[in-house]
Amino acid sequence: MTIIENLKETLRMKPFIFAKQLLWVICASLFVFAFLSDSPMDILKGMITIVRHPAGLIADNFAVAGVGATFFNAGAVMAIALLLFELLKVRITGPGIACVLLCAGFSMFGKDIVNIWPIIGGVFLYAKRQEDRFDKYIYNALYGTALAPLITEIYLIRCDWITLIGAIFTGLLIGFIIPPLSTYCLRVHQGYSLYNVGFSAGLIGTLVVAILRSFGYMPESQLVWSYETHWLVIGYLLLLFAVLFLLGWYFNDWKLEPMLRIHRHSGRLMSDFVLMDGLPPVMMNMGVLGIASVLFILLTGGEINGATIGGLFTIVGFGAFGKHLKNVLPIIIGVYLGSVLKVWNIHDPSVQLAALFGTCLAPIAGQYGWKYGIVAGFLHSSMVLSIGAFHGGLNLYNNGFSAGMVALILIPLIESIKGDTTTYASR
Amino acid sequence: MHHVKMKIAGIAHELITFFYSVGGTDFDIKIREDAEQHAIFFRSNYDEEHFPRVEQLIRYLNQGRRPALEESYWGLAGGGDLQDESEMLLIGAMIDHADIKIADGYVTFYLYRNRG
Repeated sequence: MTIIENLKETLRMKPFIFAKQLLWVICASLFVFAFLSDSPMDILKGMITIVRHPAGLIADNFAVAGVGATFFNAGAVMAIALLLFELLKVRITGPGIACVLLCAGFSMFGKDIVNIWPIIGGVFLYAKRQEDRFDKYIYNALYGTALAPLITEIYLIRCDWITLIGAIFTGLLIGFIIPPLSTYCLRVHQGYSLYNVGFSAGLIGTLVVAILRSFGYMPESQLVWSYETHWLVIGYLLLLFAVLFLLGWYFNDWKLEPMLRIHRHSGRLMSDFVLMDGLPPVMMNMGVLGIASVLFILLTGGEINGATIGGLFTIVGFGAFGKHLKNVLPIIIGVYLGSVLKVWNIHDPSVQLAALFGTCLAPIAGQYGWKYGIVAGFLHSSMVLSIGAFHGGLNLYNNGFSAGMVALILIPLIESIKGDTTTYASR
Repeated sequence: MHHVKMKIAGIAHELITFFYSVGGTDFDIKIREDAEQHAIFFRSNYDEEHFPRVEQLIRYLNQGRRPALEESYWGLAGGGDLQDESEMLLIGAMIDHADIKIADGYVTFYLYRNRG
């Protein structure tokens, strides 16, 4: 058996082995790109700046610390996530790919190698309190780091031992609350928002910020945004996504049809595309989503910077766990239409992020059709731009918070309007 | 370790709604627990035109237990759309072993879920 045949066999029988290797390669590429962009000393200085800078929405690390440090931080957090999967012996398929790439993406604007730990520790304590194994809660631990900026924010109030202890305690408390609350929130939106923890983190963030405000501290959202065109970064992204697509296409024997079969899924949680259709079609799907999203940002006059790369990595990651071009496009069209009719432009920073991250509502388009997807995207763009005030921008998954709200309102409405006389059960 | 019985009820609920969606009209269900495991017996007929979906369900039920996914998404079990395959994938992630027989237009499942 040749090496290629061996690889194909591994891909078919044990996709989780290849998926893990693939993610390690992407992680390594982030480090390589970091050192191609900046000197080691600049990266070190940039990393110190990232850790000490307020991390709430929107702090684009390109503008905060430079391209090299941004990529290094993303690579480091991605490596931490992958090591946790390794140590806890959790198999990586669609949900794992989505989770790890989301962590990498959000490390371009908010998560860093320091502020994620208290929340992970809190989830660990929750597992111990339940007399349970920590590996069962790995997704809650990693997704829960949505509120990592809160840790930085509390420490930065006075930058002393008291605020350090307060920050760690708050992180542990948040981690302790995330698992049960996230399970509960799932029932509210029925899996139609892919960033479920964003919804629960939004609720927790709202409560914590309300408490902080009642003691006189007013966390403010910020806008630190790089408006430069980084052609080298654009080249890296297009190359990465093209390689993903081509590799998947090759392992599919140069057939497109397996990738198109993914389009038949609604994408609702938990649609593990790797288990449903195999890894090669999923790699193609991820590549196509990545290239399409880069083109969307460029064609609408947006910027490719830390924050938007966060959106791109998240879309690409969820290309293994719920998103495909057919269910994502209606959402983006909805956000775009909103920008035409409403008071903002599609190339405004928050609207660019709404278009990218709003695709967590893709299952609505996948389940009920493109028209409802457009409505969801249209509503989401309004909701997300006003809901951030509740948590002072400290929940990184602000779009997940908004999407949970939109799904909560929209799903019962759609079901009552649409009705259903086609299934056996409804007769 | 908590919510075990709610998870078992979710699996049963999910199987019933799935077989409604494939034309089931005659269900038997039995749940038994002992010190080591929970066992779910489920038997239903189905409409022959939906056999590919039944086959798909069988494939998903044989994927093997995945505790991390179970803990994150078990809240979805039992509350979703009748046509949705993603919840069948979830049920597959919540059981350790499945014995499945198909005969005379009926599917019989023996699903086992270890404690812990």
